[in-house]
Amino acid sequence: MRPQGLWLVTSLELRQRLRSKFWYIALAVWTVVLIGVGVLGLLPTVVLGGGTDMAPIAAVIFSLQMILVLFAMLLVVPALSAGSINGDRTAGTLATLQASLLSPTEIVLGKILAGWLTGLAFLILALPSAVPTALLGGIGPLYALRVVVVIVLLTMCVTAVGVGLSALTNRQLGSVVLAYVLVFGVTVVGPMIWGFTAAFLQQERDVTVYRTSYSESSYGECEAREESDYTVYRLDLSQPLLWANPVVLLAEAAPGVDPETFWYSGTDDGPEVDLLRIIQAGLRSTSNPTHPASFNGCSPSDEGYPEDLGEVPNRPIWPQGMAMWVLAGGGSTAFAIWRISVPIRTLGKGTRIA
Amino acid sequence: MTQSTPPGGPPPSLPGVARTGSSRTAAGPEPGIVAEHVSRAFGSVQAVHDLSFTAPRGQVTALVGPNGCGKSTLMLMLASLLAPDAGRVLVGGIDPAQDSPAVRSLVGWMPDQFGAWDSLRVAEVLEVMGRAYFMPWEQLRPRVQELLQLMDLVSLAQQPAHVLSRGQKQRLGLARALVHRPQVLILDEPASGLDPASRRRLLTVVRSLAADGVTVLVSSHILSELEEMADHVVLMDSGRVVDASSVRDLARRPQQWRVESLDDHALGQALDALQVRHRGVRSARMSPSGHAEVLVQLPDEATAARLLAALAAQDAQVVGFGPATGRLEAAYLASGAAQREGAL
Repeated sequence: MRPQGLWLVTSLELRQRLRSKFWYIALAVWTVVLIGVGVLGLLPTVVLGGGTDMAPIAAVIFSLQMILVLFAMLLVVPALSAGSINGDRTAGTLATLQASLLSPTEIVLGKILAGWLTGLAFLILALPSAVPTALLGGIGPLYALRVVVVIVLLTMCVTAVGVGLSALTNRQLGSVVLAYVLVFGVTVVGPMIWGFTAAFLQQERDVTVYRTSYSESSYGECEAREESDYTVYRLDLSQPLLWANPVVLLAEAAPGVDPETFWYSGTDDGPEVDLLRIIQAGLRSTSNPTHPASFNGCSPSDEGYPEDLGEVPNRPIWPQGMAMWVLAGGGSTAFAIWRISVPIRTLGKGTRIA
Repeated sequence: MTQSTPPGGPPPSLPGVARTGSSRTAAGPEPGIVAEHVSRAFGSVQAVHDLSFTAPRGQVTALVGPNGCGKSTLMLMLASLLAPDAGRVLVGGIDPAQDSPAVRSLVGWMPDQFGAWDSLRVAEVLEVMGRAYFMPWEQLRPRVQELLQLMDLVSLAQQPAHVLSRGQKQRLGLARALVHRPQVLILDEPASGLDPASRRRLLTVVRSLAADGVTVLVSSHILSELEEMADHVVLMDSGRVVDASSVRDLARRPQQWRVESLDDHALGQALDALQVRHRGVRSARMSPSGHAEVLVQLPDEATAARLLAALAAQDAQVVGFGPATGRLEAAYLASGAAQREGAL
């Protein structure tokens, strides 16, 4: 693969897009919207609180902005990438490139690079509003960097999958719809099905439940009670449905939270609670429903707090999710390269070369 | 030499036409294009079937046949875009299945439908193509200007390609195929949509390239122009070669000649006296030329010359004498391909 060939295809794709006024308008609107979110979110604190202690709300706004960037990418990238090969074939320009000295790898990677850069434009244009909110919210540089890396990687993988779908189907509309179905499936349908699985992933177990009692003392007292046929929701079994969820992956970029204590005292390493940390804590709370400590409703400050229950494992799930996306993106790229390699031996039904 | 192997046996034996693999001119250069028993199917449709021919270097070979006869499929295989199911093609002596990039570097391909990147300007299209062949910028820049001049596109250089008329797009398509100075030029319906002046320009460009040693393979429905442009013709039907010849040798084939006279009675009497068989003299009132007309089938041009002299001696008042159709058209009409749906 030659860098000149790769950049030729990328620049060709970008020129195709950037000469449309629509994109400039869309990107300008996007910038204004994100700045508006930041300003409107902080305004009540500034007006009512005199600008003191803006950190909690700024942290929430930062996480909201990053989720919006993610959604913008998920909206835009499939539309761009999922028509890049079959759209060119319909326009009669793909065969012209295939007949030149450009290799299939250069053509496919050039298209992925162009889609990726276009998607990242939404992240770059979010920086003027996200950087101030991150600073005000006390968001650490590593946290911000992890969020950016997750968005960058996801954008690349979604672009690659879109290009792969574009190589798979003859019609541009078909591949764009398929790409959106995929994105909608992992982002919205997956969590819905995961929630629905609670209806049938139930077990009756004999467990010891710990609850705080305030009946005889002004201090809380931790009481243990044996319960038989206690209903345990095994949402951990259906959790793979969430592994590839982009929002979950973004939430995993937040600093690690302890699900046992998060809901009582927030985070240890920073004062602020934001949307991403809440999602992460919620997800990890459902990861180990059968662990004895999962039935402990007492606060560590309670008298008689059970110290021997051990700690609920707090394993991240981003490796699985990112591996799924990387595999999907890599597989799609390999498929697209194979599909446009010449001379073509097997031609899909109804496919025209030129 | 153009050669072919039609189904069910060899093609008609024609003067000056050798057969594949058997009688290539010993002293001649290697052919620019060789197709050997090539077949290609799309599902149940056999687009090309056991097709063989060669196209010599420095000459123009025309592919003629009805729609769907396999011309474009053959050209896709030669452009290294499509692999044959059976047989092989050699372009500049190289098999695309063995070394596709080498073949693509040799070939300039102009498809029958011009696809342009919507937002690129005309000059940019040529620059992009040059860069797709990894031409150094110092060579590409003057080459683009040269091609704009050659194809009369200078005034359109800064126009978006998608606003061009069909004829202008065809000119740009040809310029695009020529950017990297190919040794083999494959043109699929290049004259389609061109105005008369542009057709003359196309003819000049193609002949000039052939004179420079480029192998040119061209398909077209406009047989009169192909006759002027091509040195050799390959007639295709149903994915097979049904006939092949040099255009010059077509003159030695039987064809119809039209005789026009001022007097239908005198013409009829002269033909009867010379015992020339014909289907009857059309009177001046019935013919579009306003002359009495008759069509006669003659075996070759020498016989035609003798007939003209004899008619003059018989005082047939002949004012017009010539082939009823072009040589290429006559050969095409004599083949079965002309009878099929979609024929020219």
